[in-house]
Amino acid sequence: MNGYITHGQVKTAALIWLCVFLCAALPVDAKKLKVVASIPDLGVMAERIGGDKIEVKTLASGREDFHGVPVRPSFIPTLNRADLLLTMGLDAEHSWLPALAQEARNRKIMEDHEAWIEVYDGVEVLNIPDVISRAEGEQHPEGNPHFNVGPHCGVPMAENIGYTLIEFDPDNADVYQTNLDAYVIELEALTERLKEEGKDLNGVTIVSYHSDVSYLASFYGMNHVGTLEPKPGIEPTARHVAELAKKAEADGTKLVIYHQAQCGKLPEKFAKRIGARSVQFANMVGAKKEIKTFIDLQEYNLRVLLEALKEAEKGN
Amino acid sequence: MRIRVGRQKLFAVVLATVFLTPVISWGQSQRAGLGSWQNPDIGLVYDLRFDLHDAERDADGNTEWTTRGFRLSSAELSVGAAIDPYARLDFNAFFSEEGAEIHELFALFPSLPLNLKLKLGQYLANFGRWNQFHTHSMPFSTEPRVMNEYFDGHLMLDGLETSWLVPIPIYTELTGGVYNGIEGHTHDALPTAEESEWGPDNPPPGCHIHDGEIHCPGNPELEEEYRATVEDPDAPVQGKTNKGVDDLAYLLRLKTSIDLGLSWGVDMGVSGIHQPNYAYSQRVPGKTYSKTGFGADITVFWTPPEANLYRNMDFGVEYFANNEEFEVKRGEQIFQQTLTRDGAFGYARFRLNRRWQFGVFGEVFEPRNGPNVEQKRYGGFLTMNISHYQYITVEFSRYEATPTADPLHMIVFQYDGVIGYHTHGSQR
Repeated sequence: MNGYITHGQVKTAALIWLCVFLCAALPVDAKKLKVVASIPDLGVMAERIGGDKIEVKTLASGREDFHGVPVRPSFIPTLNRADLLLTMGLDAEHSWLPALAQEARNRKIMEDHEAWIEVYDGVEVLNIPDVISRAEGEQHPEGNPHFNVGPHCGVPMAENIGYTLIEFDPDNADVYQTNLDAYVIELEALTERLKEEGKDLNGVTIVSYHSDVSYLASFYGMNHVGTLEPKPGIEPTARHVAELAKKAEADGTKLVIYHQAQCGKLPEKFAKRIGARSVQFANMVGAKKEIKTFIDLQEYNLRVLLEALKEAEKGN
Repeated sequence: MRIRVGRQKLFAVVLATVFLTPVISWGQSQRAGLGSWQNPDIGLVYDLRFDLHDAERDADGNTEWTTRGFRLSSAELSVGAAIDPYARLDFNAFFSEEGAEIHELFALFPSLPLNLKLKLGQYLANFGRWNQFHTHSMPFSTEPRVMNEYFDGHLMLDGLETSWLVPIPIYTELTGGVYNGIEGHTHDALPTAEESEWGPDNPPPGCHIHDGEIHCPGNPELEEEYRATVEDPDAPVQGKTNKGVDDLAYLLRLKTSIDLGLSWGVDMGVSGIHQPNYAYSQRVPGKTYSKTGFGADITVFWTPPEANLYRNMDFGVEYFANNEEFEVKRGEQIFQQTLTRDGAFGYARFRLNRRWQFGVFGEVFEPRNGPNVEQKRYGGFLTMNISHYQYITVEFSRYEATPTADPLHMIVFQYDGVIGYHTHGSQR
């Protein structure tokens, strides 16, 4: 040993380094369809329908507001290996996902390409704006994308995912179709059950922080009279809040609804001001530890809404 | 590549742009409209500044607070769209007091075989963290001076860059680039100085150097006087029409990012750029001088999932080193000397809620004319986000150029608004 590194040693080290890189790059199971989901709701549905024929990775944790998922470079390698990318569509993920997908060196999953899948087909889209202008706030020109909190939207979401899996992996079409059929029966049963269990919410007047409860309100027949944001994505102003408080009181508002990724201070204060109850719902699967499936999400939201309604009625 | 127009034409172009953009954007939003799907994404960013500074002295030598008034720092028109399934084209025109320029115009092939991406044209080179930020998208108002000192501003270069996404589970990207040369670019001149101190880095009030050219808007006499003070007719010249391989500049950057749980993440990178024939001697035929830049950057992000929309934080440091050969004439003899300097810029930014964010920054570096003199600049900023599309920032800074000279204090008020489509990709 003379302390010098020989050319041979350098070559050996370079070869080892290359092997480590290439081994890490090898897929774990080349046969499985690699599915990446923007939010956990889509991930768990894909797992339910795809079973062990697919490998699912989810980008958002479920605790975020899905317009504000942090742009993490660590998503890029995951997107790089994806065979398909499941998204909500209707520009729900526009602030973070298209840019990451473009960096992933995987043309098929870029926005508007064949494996960028939007799951809203068949959903009765609400809140399609008549006027498209930034003066109306951060609009979604094609309609409200928060349909994952509507129990009745589960079936079209699942069907979109199921048919996509069949299209991308026809060899396992029978498995996907069987699982999808069983899942749709579960979701239809859930819809009927929740409609019945949630009938006390019918006609209840609510205010929300953002316009993200439209599908939830529509399903249970709640009367959504306004949002704390004066326009979508615009910070609440004192004047707007004061005007809304007058209207909400006049309409007999019972619940002020916000989710876990919205600052709770204002909704709680506002609820006190108008003599209503504030309630934190979950906007996605994974928002709370106990919410592990789409069905859990819908059951959780109904439970917290009914509890808050009971308290609101006691208070009055 | 750059286009200049007169100031009167500039205003006409800006006005036309402002009036036309909403019309074009409206057309774009109506996706079902005949032919509108062919319209590219169009956006316009307006950046207006007003400053207060104490660069002036009164008759007794006491500092005086004055202002350069309201300045159109920039009106940035961006146009971009997919050319076809394989590439997109992005264009960024910049209108300011200096005239109109093409800041960026490049074709991007985002997904080539072997995990490669190719960028071709003129753009902000992939060197370090801040170099790729448009000034209006930085959290603070003024650009890091260390970049101006070592590279004459942002490295906005003509050339080709290819990036390889390393096929491992941890995001790692290796970029190689070749460009026409190392050429900095800035519109962020400091207010300075009295006549006796005029120099290349110290223009008289109302003057600045942009793209190597002296500008004193509205004052041609002063412009001529200043030019005569600073220009050496026999100094080495940069650039060459017919280029050999040593006339080009070469860049390498390695970048990675690691998540530390759901809330924390770290981006890190190292960059190097080298141009063998950076400058040509006019006194010694065939003699050339090189320039090399090096950078290392680390940025930490705190983005708590439940609160990211209204509370987050990032802080980081970027280190720069610069090695430049140059020519010195002593009597009749010509010497080659090398100037090696380094410095660093650090910052921290905290978003308190959706409306307010604030932060601090500081930097140390060595000026061109005195490598052993350490210059310092530090300050703080406060931003009110009126919405996602407009903000107002107030920034205070103190610039200590030498231990003996009076420091320069500056307060900048910045208004920034955007219409149409404008994005900075996956930048965070």
